[in-house]
Amino acid sequence: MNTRPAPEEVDELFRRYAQTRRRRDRNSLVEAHMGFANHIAKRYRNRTIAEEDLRQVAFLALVKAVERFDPEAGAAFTSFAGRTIEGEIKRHFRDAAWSVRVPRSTKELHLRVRRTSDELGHELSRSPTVKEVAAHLGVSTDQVVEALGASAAFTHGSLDSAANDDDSAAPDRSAHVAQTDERLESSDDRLVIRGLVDRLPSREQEIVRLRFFEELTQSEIAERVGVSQMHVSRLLRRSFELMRQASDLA
Amino acid sequence: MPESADISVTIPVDSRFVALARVTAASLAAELDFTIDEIEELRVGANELVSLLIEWAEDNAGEEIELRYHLSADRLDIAGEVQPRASEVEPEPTDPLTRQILGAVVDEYEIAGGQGRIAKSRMRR
Repeated sequence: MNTRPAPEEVDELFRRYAQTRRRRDRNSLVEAHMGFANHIAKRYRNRTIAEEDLRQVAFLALVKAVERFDPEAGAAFTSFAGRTIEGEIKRHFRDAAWSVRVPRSTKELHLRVRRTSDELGHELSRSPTVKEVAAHLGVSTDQVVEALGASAAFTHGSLDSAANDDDSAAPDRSAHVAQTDERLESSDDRLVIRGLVDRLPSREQEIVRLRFFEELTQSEIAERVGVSQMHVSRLLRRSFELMRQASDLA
Repeated sequence: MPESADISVTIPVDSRFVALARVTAASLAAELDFTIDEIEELRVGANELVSLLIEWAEDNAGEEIELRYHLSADRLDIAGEVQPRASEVEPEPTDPLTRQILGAVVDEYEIAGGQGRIAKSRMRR
């Protein structure tokens, strides 16, 4: 690890980087502020988002901040970078966090639909159609479709539970994830969630399983699946959105 | 738009032209229907690749950087090479910071000496 340069050296590096855009100067600037980025990331640490993922988000935000910083604008880099890093972390929380609540009746219908679907599947030696399941259960096709999308809650923590959250800038309330009385541990919920996960494209299924059932970090998943960590983050976000949309039908 | 396409761009060994490489990458990615976030990451990746090649060229008497962009259905590959190719030079190990950046923003990367490539796929919709 390089020794941290003195403030006047940092100023000089920024001025030089603004003129030359040399990557080596950029690297020195990033390295000089890594501790700062990690410090901000730590403030948002909680048990539901892997610290490694937070550090990665903060790191990339730092790189972007160094690239965009204008030393002539008069602001201190740390205040500019601090805002950039916090913004990206909050966005990450907002994207990564979700929670849904499903009425009991819909959950029950979901289970009945699944059971009926299995039974009819055996009888017909193929997957039954929605109409067939609806006729068998004596409900409308809309209700079957709705029940197929039912979900229990995936609760992914909230910014309010972030460790050492003594930040004067209040946590982004829109990122807050309501705690629900539904827990992943319940076997019914697991069944419903598995049903929802099964509806995702195969790669998303794998990523969601690795994240929530094997509890790998986004970086570990990226390595295993062979895409970038940010791509994993986006695939998870998209999967949550698809599942959330499905559960909103309930 | 054809199934795949190849575009070549040659830039001088001058960091001012990194922006051209980034803009080209962004424009082609937009053709492939990448999202804004994906394009932003690709720009960071292209910036890293081309800046590295320029630095390498400066240290090894390179004269220009040849960039090849290959588009397929949902993926963009960017390969770069310093010209003229230096055969005798030992490739420098890529620094950890660069690996960390590229690992975060692109799906594949490979950089050794005066050659490198990055690849990024768009999310299937």
